[in-house]
Amino acid sequence: MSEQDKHSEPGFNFKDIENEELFSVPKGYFDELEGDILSKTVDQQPAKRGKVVTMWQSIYPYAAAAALVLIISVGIIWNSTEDKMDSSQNIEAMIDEVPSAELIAFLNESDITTDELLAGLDLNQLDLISEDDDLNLINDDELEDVLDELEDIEIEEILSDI
Amino acid sequence: MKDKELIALIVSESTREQGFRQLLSEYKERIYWHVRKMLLDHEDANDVTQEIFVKIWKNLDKFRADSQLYTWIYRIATNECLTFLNKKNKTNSVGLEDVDASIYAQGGQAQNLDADYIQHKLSSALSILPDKQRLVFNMKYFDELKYEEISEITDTSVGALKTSYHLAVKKIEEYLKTS
Repeated sequence: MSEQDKHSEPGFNFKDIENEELFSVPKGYFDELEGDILSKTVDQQPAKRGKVVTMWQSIYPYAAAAALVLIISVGIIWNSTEDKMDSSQNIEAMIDEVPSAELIAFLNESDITTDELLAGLDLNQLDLISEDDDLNLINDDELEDVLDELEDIEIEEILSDI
Repeated sequence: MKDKELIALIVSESTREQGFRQLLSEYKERIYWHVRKMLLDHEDANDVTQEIFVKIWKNLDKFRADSQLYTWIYRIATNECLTFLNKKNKTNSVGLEDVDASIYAQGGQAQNLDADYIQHKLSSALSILPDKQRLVFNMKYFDELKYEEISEITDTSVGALKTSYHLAVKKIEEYLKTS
């Protein structure tokens, strides 16, 4: 205490008592306090938040690729499960959904040869289908339409060649 | 670490974070006790102490190298304490009996009767002082700051601070005699 205050020395003394004796604090409190403050200040800087964004940006192509692989895998697994459950029904349903003209047009436009097509066929699967009564994938009317269409294409192609 | 070395770390942007860590380590207990003696309740003191250091961190770039570091820190701490007390006084008026009850509730478990008694005596004595008088008393009596320093922290004249301190001492003496 400075000279100017000596005349006003209080008639009590709390100074010689430690703060911890005057007021209770939980054990290990000050270490906890420092950790709490650091987590709200230096450990939570905008620069560090920026780094998180940058990191996300850098992994984005990989994440997108991983997501794509996941979607394809799920699709394959789902399809193979469907096949195992009811392969004949599934194939029929798929073929029914595609108009015959489109199937033929696709095969005409693609580079797949007849040999390749046959090589890709699963004979066991064919057996399964053959067991089914309904083998008429294309009825007579549709077949006639397709043949007409093919004839038209051939005529057009011939004309264009001329 | 001395304040001078701390300031050197703080004023440079590249070492500011290191400076803040050092500052926190040096000042956390002093500031907590400063706040605790103002607010008396541990939970309140904990919240306000954390808020003070968050403010210090956010304003560290505004600190001028020619200023006194502890005066600047005490100023932020004092403002936060008074703001908290103003808010609290507006929402609920805490009577002396309530303060007594809360002090017993938080101090009664782990400490012996003598410590409880001293804690209760001091807390009760401090709680009878108006907020600003308690602030001046704490800084002068416990923190042993000079009137000039308290004047800088509180923007109050030395004369007014002396009057405030003597009034606080008299009130505490009378309270201790009668209680």
